[in-house]
Amino acid sequence: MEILKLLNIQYKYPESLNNCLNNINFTVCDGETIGLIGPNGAGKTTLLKIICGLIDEFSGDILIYGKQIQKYSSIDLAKLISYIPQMDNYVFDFTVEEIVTMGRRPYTNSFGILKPYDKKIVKEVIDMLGLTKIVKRKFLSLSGGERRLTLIARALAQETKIILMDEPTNNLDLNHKIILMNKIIELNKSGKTIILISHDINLLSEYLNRIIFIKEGRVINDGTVNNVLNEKSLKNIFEIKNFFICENKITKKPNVFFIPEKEV
Amino acid sequence: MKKNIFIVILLILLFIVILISLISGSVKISLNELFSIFFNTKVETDSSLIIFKIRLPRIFLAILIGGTLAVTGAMLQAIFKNPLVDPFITGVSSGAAFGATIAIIFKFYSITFFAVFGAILTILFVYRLSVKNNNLNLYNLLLIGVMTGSFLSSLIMFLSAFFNKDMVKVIFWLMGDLSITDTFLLKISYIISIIIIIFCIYFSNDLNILSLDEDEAKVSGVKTEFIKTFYFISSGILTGLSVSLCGVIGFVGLVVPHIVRFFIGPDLRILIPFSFLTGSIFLLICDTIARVVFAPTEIPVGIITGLFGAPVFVSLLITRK
Repeated sequence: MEILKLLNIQYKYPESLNNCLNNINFTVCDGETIGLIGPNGAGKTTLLKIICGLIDEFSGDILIYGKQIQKYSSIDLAKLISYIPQMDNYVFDFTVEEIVTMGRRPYTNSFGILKPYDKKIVKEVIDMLGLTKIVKRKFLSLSGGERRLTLIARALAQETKIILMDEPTNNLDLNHKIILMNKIIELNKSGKTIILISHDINLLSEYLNRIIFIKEGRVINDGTVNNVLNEKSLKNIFEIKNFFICENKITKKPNVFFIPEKEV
Repeated sequence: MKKNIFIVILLILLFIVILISLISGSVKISLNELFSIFFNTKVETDSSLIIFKIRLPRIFLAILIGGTLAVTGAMLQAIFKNPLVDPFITGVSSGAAFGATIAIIFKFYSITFFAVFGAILTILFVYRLSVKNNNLNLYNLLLIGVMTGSFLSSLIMFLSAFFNKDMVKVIFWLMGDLSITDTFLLKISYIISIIIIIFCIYFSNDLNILSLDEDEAKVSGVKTEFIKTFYFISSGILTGLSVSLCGVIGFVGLVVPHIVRFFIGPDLRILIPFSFLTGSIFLLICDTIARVVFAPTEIPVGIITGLFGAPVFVSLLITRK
């Protein structure tokens, strides 16, 4: 079932001369996991911000369940889409539990009184992401991986169908990257549709089923990992030469390998 | 620390400070005398006049001003995502004082109204100038705030000199002074401030979410523009009221939320009421010191809060990660 549809999305930052996004079209079906890949400044983050309603001066149409995004109230939209930004430069030191609870905002009032069901959901997502032992810890005292998981827990507490993540594996060590991607797959199996940005092509190749390449605000390639992740598209998008693509023998997924200049 | 214990400690502390404030001053009144005055209200003595006409209203004033300044500080820190701001450092108090000065010089009807107006305009001015490309720059904010404040203070003194106002009075006012008690304005301010603070507590979970990240707040359904405007205007009204009652008192709004946050965390639903109580105690102590230390001469209470606050501010700035 179609859950999200982008039609001819164009956007220009007020102070910039060129369009940041040009004629973006794609459709997202229920239960997909999609990776957005592209060079720095290609417009990936801007695209995510437009999809979750943070930027509204774009042209074109975004349809969620067939209805234009502008027709949803901010609360209704918050019940459909959650967004985990790239950076967390928090100043105030809330506990893990307090931050996860903030995800219940669309279901509570401005004072944030929780009903028993809200408490149940908060507890469930904390358990699911393995944060039970650190619920009372202060956010700023956590490691990078724990912080990411906390923010994901908060997005889960929001109980949305679609979750957008901007570079969730950034700054994580290999172990935490794998833990995080496994959680993402677990979420996907429980019915969430996930769109994420990452520069880690191999990681996305191994874990996700669809990849969209974006360059200079345009969709260059869109399809399953095996279809679009090839030498031609990588050359085109990143303008690189010295690399080759090999299949992971176990997963049968393409992986990218780089060759330093001196070895060529 | 357990919140219940903290609130009990604060209430006991407030009671003790009120008692000390009642008996100390240029005229010493013993505790026994104080009790007999309270239990024997019919007999009017010099001491009972001092207690009921001078010290008690002043204590009520200090409680209100200390409380509202601390609450305003906590709220501004959350909106600006910066624990180093308060109404004084952002120049908002000076904006209120400037509004009041214009009203005094040109004999406009309501000083309080102009003070509130000046405060709100200054918040919006400082906020707009410190936001660049949708990002709030921490150090820009501090510099712009401090500069706006000192510019407006200089302008106030310049205008006062130009229009032949009593400079000593003006300086007293710019340093904060709790001795001028307009009891009618005090009662009105109590009612308005308490109503505003109740609303501020009601919306405070939205401000919690906003204080972390504006984008995340928006995506989780918080009406960020409404919340910001609401807290800007509320902070403006609270600062305007306090400045029109007793001038510019610095650092209460900075120091108090810091102390309270250290004990109970940053959740504004608790931070706001606890800051009110702690701010009251803090200002009452400062005012009692200001009355007693050179008795019978009084010094502006802002001198004492500055002596406490400025070093705290600098140490926070240095130790900030």
